Amino acid sequence: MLDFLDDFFAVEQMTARMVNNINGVIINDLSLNVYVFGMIFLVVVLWIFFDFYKNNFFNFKDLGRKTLIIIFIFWALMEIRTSQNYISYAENDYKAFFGKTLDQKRAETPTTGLYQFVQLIKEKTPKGAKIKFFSLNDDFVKMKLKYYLAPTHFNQVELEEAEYVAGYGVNFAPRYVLGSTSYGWVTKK
Amino acid sequence: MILFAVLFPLFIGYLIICFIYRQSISFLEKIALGFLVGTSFITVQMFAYSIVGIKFSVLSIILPWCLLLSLIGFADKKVTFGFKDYKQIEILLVFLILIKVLYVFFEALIKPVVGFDSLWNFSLRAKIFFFEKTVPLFSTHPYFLGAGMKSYPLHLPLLEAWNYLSMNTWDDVQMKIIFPVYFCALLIIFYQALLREKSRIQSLFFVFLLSSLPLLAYHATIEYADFVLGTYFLGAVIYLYEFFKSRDVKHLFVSSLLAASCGWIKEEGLILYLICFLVFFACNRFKSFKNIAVYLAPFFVFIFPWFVARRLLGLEFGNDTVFEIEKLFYFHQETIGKILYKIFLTDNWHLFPIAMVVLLIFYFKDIMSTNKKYILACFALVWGFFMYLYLFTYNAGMVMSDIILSRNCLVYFPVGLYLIGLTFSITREKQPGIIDNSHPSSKKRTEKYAK
Repeated sequence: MLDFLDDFFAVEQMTARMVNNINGVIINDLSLNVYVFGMIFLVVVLWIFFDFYKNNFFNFKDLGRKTLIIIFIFWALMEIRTSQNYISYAENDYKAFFGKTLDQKRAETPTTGLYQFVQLIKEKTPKGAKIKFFSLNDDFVKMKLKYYLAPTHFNQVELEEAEYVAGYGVNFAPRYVLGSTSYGWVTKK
Repeated sequence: MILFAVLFPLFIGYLIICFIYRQSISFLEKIALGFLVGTSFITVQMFAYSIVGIKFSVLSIILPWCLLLSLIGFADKKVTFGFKDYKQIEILLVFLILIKVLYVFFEALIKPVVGFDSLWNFSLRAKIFFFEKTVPLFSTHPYFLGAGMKSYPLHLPLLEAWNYLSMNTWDDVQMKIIFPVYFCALLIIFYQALLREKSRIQSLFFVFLLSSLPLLAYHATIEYADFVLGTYFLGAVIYLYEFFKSRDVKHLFVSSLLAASCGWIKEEGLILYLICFLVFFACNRFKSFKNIAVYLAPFFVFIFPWFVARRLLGLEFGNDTVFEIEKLFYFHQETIGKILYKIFLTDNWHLFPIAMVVLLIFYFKDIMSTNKKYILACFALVWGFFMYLYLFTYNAGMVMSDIILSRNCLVYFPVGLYLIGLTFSITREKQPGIIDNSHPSSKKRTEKYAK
C-alpha cells in the first residue's frame, strides 16, 4: 500500500524530453491510465446494473452520456493529482530563477558552464574575430554556442585561418590562455 | 515595452475584427481573435519589408497601421465585465482556469529559452533578424534566413524578433510572453464558441478541461510552434463551423485567415489549410465562386509568398527529402503499438483520447446528422494525415524515437475536445415516442394505463 502511495504521489521530474511526452503516474510498471480505465469500466457496469435493478429502459445514447460523465469526473481528479507536479515545478523554477538577472538566468539553463564560457568569449575576443571552437561532440552544445554568440562573436573558421582558439568541455588546454572558466578556455593563436 | 509588443498587434487585429464583425461577437472574442490575426499580419509585413529592403524598426512597422485608426469607429463603445449572476460552481471553474493561466504565465516568464527545436527553428533566427534588422535573403550571407532551420516558415521567428525590437534588447525571457497570451486566446475562443450553443457552466467546464491538458499547458510555457499552430487551427475550424451554421461570409473569411496563418507557422500548416479548404469545398462546391475567392484570398497573403520565396532561394520542402517515393509508401507496423501507447497510456492528454472514442461510439449518428460533421471531418482528416505519416513514411523513425507524435496531437486535439463540448449534454435528452420509465412519474403513468 505504501509503495502504491509513493508511486501515486511521485512527481515526474521536468526534463527536456517532456516537450515530446509526459509519462504521468506509473504504479507497478503500469500507467495510472490503466487503473483509471478499469475503474471507469467498473462504475459504468455498476450504473447499468443499477438502472436494470430500477427497471429503467435501456438507452444506448444515455449510456454514452453516463460514460462521459464518469470520464470527466476521473479527468478532473487526475488534474487535481497533476497539480502537485505543477506546484513542484513552480517551486523549483522559483528557487532557480527568481530575482536573478538575465545573464544569471541563462547561466542556470543547460548545459552546465556553457553560458559562463560564452561570456568569457565575449569578454576576451573582439566582435567578428575569427575563432576556432573545440567543443563536446554534442549538437545541443554546438547549437547553443551559436545561439548565444551569433551574430557578433560567432565567426567560426578552421584552425589555419583562426585568430583565436576556444575550447569547451574538452580534455586539453593550451599552456597560455587569455581566460578560462571551469569548463572552457580561450586563447589567442 | 514588452506590453507594447503584445498590445500593438492585438490592437491592430482587434480593429480588423471589429470592422468584420461590428457588434455581432463579444469584446473578449474580438480581443482573442485580434491577437491571432494581428500577429499574423505584423509578421507578414516584416517579411515583405525584408523582400523590398526596408530595415525593421518599431516606427517603420507601426506607421502603415496608422491608417487603421479610421476603423476605431467600429470598436466597442461599452465593455462590461462582471460575475454578479455567476453560480458558485461557475466561479470555482473560472478560478481554476485562472490559476492555470497564472501558472502558464509564471513558467513562461521565469526562465529563458531552453528547448532544442525552439532554439534551432525559431529563437536563433529571431535573434539574427533582430540584430540584422531584416531577414537575410542572400545565400552568401553567413546567417542566411537566420541560420538554424532555414526551411521553416517565419511567423514565430519574426514575432519573437518584433518582441526584441519593441524592447530594443535581446531578452529571451520577456519575449516568451507571447506564448501564454496565445494560451489565453485559445481558451477565450474555445469558450465563446461553446457558449453560442451550450450553457455557461458547461462551456466553462470544457475550458477547464482544455486548460488541464498537461502537454498543452506545458507547451504554452515554452517556445515551440505546435501549440500555436493548434490555436490557429482550432480557430479556423470553429469559424468554418459557424459559417456552415449561418452561411455568413464573415465567418468564412476569418476561418480562412486563421487557416492560412497555419501555413505561415509550420510546414504542416499548409496541409491544415488544405484540409479546411477541402471541407469547405465539399459543402460549397462551385455554388458560390465568391465564397471560394474569399477562402483563397488569405492563401495568397500568408502562404504563397513564403513558398515562392523558398523556391527562389533553393530550399527543399520538408526536413529531409520528402518526395522520395520509396520513403512515402512503406508500411511501418512497428509504430502501431507505440502510437496506441502514447495516446492512451501516457498523461499527455489525461482522458481526452478515451472520451473521444466514447463520443464516436455513442454519438456518431448525432454528429453526422448535424453541421458538427464538418468539425469531425476536419479532425478525422488531420488525424488521417498524421497516421499516414507515422505508418507509411520515414517519419516512423521519429515516432519510435518519441520525437513527433504527441506534439502533432497538439494541433488537432483541441478540435476534438471542442466537438465533445458541442455534442455532450449533461442532462438526459428526451426521445420522442418512447415512454421514459426511468423517471418515477412516467413509470406511474405507464402502470396506471396498464391497469
